[in-house]
Amino acid sequence: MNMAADLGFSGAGVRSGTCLVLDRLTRSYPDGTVALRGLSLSVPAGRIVSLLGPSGSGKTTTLKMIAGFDKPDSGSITLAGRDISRTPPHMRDIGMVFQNYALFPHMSVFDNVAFPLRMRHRARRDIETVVQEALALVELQGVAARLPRQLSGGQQQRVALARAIVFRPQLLLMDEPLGALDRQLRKSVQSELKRLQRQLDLTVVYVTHDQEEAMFLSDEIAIVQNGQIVQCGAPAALYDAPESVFVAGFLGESNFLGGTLAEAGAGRAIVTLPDGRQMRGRSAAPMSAGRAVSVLIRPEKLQVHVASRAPGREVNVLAGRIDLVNFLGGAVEYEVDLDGPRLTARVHLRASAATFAVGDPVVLHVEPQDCLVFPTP
Amino acid sequence: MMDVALAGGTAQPVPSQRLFSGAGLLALPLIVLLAVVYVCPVGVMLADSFTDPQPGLQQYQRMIEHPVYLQVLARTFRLAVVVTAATAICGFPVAYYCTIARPAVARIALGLLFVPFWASTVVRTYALMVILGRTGILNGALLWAGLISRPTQFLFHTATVQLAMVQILLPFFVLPVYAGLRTIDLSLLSAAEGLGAPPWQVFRRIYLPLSLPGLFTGALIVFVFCFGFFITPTLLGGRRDVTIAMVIMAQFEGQLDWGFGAALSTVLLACTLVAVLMMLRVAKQDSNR
Ligand SMILES: Nc1ncnc2c1ncn2[C@@H]1O[C@H](COP(=O)(O)OP(=O)(O)OP(=O)(O)O)[C@@H](O)[C@H]1O
Ligand SMILES: [Mg+2]
Repeated sequence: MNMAADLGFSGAGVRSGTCLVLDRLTRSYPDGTVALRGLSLSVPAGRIVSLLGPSGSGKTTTLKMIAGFDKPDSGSITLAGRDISRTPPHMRDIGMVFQNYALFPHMSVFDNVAFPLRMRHRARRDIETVVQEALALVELQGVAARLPRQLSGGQQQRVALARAIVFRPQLLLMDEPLGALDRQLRKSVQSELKRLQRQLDLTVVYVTHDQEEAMFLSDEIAIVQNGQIVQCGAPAALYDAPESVFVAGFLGESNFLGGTLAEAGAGRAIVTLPDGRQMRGRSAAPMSAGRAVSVLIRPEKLQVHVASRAPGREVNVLAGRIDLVNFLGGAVEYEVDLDGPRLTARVHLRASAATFAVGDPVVLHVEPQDCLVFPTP
Repeated sequence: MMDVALAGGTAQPVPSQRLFSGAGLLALPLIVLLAVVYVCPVGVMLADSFTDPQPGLQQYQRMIEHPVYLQVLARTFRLAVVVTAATAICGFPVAYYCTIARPAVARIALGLLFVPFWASTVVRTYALMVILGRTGILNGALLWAGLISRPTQFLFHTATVQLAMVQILLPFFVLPVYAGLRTIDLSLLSAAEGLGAPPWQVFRRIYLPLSLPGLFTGALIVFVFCFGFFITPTLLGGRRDVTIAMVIMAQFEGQLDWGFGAALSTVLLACTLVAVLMMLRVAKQDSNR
């Protein structure tokens, strides 16, 4: 791998600074669809930033703008300090992995990977070495002479990746690159991708539908809704402190309890549920009393106790009955009927943990700091 | 021709299961028909060329002794090459346009291309005579515009024949090419562009190679048609535009020399086969590269 260093084809340690800035991009189509409404995003160098959002929210449109296949109506795109809004795609120096891979069917794997180097008029000898190295990185040396149609889906995916990084682009774009792979393969490719990204110090904008994938891969996740980024941050920050019901619901699993705000102040809130019970929690935004609110509780924050041995606490204790038991392997999920509202609790199976059966009366408990109170939209 | 279309770059997996096992039987009537109306006459023709009026190679000998026949063959070949090339150059942009135009526009464009199909080649050739003749529409227009002072003869030139043939054969070329171009995944072009290819490189390295199977199919059809053309060259061409098909016609109709006609036909068939095989060879090499 010394040769790799010679050719500049290896990681150079984590760079600092901002690689890509999208500033208030807008785009509407002639048929009236507004795909982007002032989307802004900043991507630090050497990081993976994922765009996560529902279908039709504008993720692909955003990638197309960055790659140059589509032009924004307004707004600017800056790559490494240079405004590239008007630069044609072939001069942008951005690698892209398409969902369907877009491998050139009439070219061998080698020629596919060599394509970007040939377009850059690299010396023949260089091309040979650099391509072989890129193929080695994705463990495909053996199939260099084959045509894409002679490869499995996973292998094609790796060729597409090798082709997108072989010319050391400043930025790598990936549009649901693992969408066509089965679950098992996805997992291993995700790990591989993460390793490669660290090793080569790549800056990546990654589009996915899959929240687990986004959380696993990303340094930062940008939640896209309706052509805008509604929240952006580290996966843990987004999971623990979502700023809206939409983000909370989109990232991770969640229970919502509807109620009325009884008291609020200093980030704390007391909520009255429809049946009169009260819950204490943190407020996610400033609100005034009397407002309709939703209380977010993550399933793993709920503790399930035998009804007769209720914890000696007064706050956030809810009595109910087990309605459904879902076995998940390392954990078990209880759906609990609270005489009206239903909550899902996830309990990790340990030797000491009590297990319950359908119909068992139980008591749920959740700490106030794990209850996030949102204004109901 | 099947082979050319399949030799291309599109990676469609071949279904391993037949639809139903008796499917082959459905093709039987056509195979029988082809055997009767095609294979039998060709056999008779071959036999005639060696036996009429008496057994021997004298008909072929005659062909070699009089170089005019081989000259006509060479001229026909040149005509076929020129017309095929011109049709390809004119037809490719049309086919390409139909793939990128909105579906409604594409349908109209393809429809217009086929309007002339409703008339026979004879009618279409006469129509060109009406347009191009001394008292034709073109001369009328040019005289009226004052661009010329006396009527010009546009007919009976080689170029006129070529123009007419291109016009008649264009649909045969555009349709297979259009069908081929439609199968090209346009995201490949974006991918190439994103990887650093300027537009003409995208065309040269991605679009053109992927359109070759369709182009070969179209070119082959046109080329084979050209070899057998006689109505258009007869009506529009001068004395220098005699094609091998016209000479063969003359043997059967005028000279009543069936043996010599059969020998000429055999040579024409052999030449066509050789040309087709050569083109298939090139197409195959190209797709294996
Ligand atoms: N060519 C087009 N003409 C009109 N509307 C379009 C066009 N392309 C995209 N749109 C619209 O723009 C919006 C954003 O589309 P986009 O493809 O960016 O969504 P996405 O977030 O990538 O969705 P998915 O997760 O389904 O891939 C959608 O409402 C879509 O219908
Ligand atoms: Mg998309």
